[in-house]
Amino acid sequence: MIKINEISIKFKEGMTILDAIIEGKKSINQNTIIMVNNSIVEKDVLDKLQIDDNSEIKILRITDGG
Amino acid sequence: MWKKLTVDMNNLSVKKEDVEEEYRDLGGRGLIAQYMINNVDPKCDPLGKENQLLICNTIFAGTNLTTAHRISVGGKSPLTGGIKESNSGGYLGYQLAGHGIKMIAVKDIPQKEGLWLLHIDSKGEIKLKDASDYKGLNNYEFVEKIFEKYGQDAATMSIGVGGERNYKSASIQLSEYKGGHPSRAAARGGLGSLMGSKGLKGIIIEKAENRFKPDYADEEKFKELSIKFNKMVASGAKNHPFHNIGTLSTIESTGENGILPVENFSGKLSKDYKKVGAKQFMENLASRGGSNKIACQPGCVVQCSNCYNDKDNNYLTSGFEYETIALFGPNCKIYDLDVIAQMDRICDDIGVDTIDIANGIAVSMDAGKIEWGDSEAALGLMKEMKDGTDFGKILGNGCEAVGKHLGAKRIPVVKHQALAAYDPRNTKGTGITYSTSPMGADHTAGLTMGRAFDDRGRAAQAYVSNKLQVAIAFYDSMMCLFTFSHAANNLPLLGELWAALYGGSSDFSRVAQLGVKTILTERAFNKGAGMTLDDDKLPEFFCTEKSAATGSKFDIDDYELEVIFDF
Ligand code: SF4
Repeated sequence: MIKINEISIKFKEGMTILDAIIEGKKSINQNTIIMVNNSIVEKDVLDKLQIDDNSEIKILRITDGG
Repeated sequence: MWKKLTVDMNNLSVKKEDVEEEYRDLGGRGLIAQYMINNVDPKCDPLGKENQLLICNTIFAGTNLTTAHRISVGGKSPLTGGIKESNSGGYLGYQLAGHGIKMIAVKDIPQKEGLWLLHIDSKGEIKLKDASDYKGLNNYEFVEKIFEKYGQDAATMSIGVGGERNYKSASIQLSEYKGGHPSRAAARGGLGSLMGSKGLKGIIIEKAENRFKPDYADEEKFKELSIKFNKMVASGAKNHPFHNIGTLSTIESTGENGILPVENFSGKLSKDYKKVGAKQFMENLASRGGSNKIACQPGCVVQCSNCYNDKDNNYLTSGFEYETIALFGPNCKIYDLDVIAQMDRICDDIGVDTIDIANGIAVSMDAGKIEWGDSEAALGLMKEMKDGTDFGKILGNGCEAVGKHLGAKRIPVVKHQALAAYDPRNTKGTGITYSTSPMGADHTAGLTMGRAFDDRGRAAQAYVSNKLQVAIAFYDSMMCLFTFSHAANNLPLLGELWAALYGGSSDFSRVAQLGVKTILTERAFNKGAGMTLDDDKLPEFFCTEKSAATGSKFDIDDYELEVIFDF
């Protein structure tokens, strides 16, 4: 299983981070940050990096300034 | 019954009395606005005997509502010449509420030169003590000595040499919960200078032996509502970048869309900002130690704060925020997080506002005093500020003083206060907030980024800025702003909480009215101080120069700015 924010999706062999995000029906844009297992992943490599089973993806939306 | 302390610096006395009825159910920014208009002549000299330094707890202080112990500091600003409310996290609000004190009003100025400490011990005994031994100490050393004497559980609020020398950008630094570092700041508007003019070096509050409990109108109801509210905020924070990374995460958005200030707001954006971005920050934490997800005050469920260590894993700074990183970083073409962390530490230590100082450094670079990106030279200027050289004093007086001294054409200030780290051409609603907020160029007064249909477009920007400015004015009276986006879908809950604590109407209109009244009161004060509609304008260059990143100019009509608060 892979956790994306509050939901869980089924892990498939060879799936990329982007595949998992699409499977989880989550959207991303320039105001989102993606973390996989507590590390930030740049958006331009989401379709290149495969994800491991039992990973946790967080899609963080920037809504405030610091 | 909540108490008010009146500290008279002329006869060095402290009076403790019940809070007046008029202020009983107020707190934070709303309380400051009302108290100032009733008690301080807007025309007074900000560093003179008539001005007052106010330290206020929020409406919800003393309760378990998350972030309710934000502290608001106020007075007539030595920087803007208008009213100022600058709020901060840290431990002091919680400790102050523990003694049942809603507000401290520091009046008048000492008859002779000197420094004093306001000390509240664990039994609630209050004394104004001679602090001449602490003269010239900066905040880190000051806090160390205070902890040696009063123990680690004391909460502090202090000024460094910035405040002692009346630098117009001087901050007041507050110790954080647990870590104790004086890294939380009521930074904007030179309130540290006001504190220095009163001869007040610091306020020390020990943990109350018997913690004060507010008189709830309906305690059970409040408990039920606050659990709901805290859960709502915690659930929102769980997947929010401020909790998972920190406020620095904002750079990942502003850097993408041209809102990030680069080279003194030229907009010459490059991908170099990634070198001081969220990924680098998190990698440094992981490889060195240091941490994020820290609560700067007890009970905060957002936990946006952090502790940043140097390459050898020694503490360097904490509360290392987006504004500081963006403005000392890309806006000065400095792309090294460790150097920027040093700059943050220096500002916290001397007690000056990182926003005004970083903008002052960028203007120095733009005017050719030092080279773009020359971090050694920038640190040299900051050392001058610490040492009090002629130029150091100018830098301590903030961005506008530097720009005028160097004959710079592009000085990013409104009401003499430097812009925060959002280019107003690419988030025009924020530009409207910068222009029209009674606080001067202040992003926290109503940052519209991501809330308008198109950040660079003109449509609805004034509408969004107006709505947010009102919302923030009541929010700054209640708790930390960083819970706002998690509570925004259920703001009526605030009306119910207010009524459960103090009685009265639970209707949300009461809350909204507080926001409107606060802004109108602040504007009335500023008008009395001599401000006009001409003060509600961005510097000309934002209207005539295109942002190099997007080609956008600030093209909001003056008319829209003039009518923004015609309710
Ligand atoms: S959200 Fe951040 S600034 Fe606000 S109280 Fe919590 S830790 Fe402090």
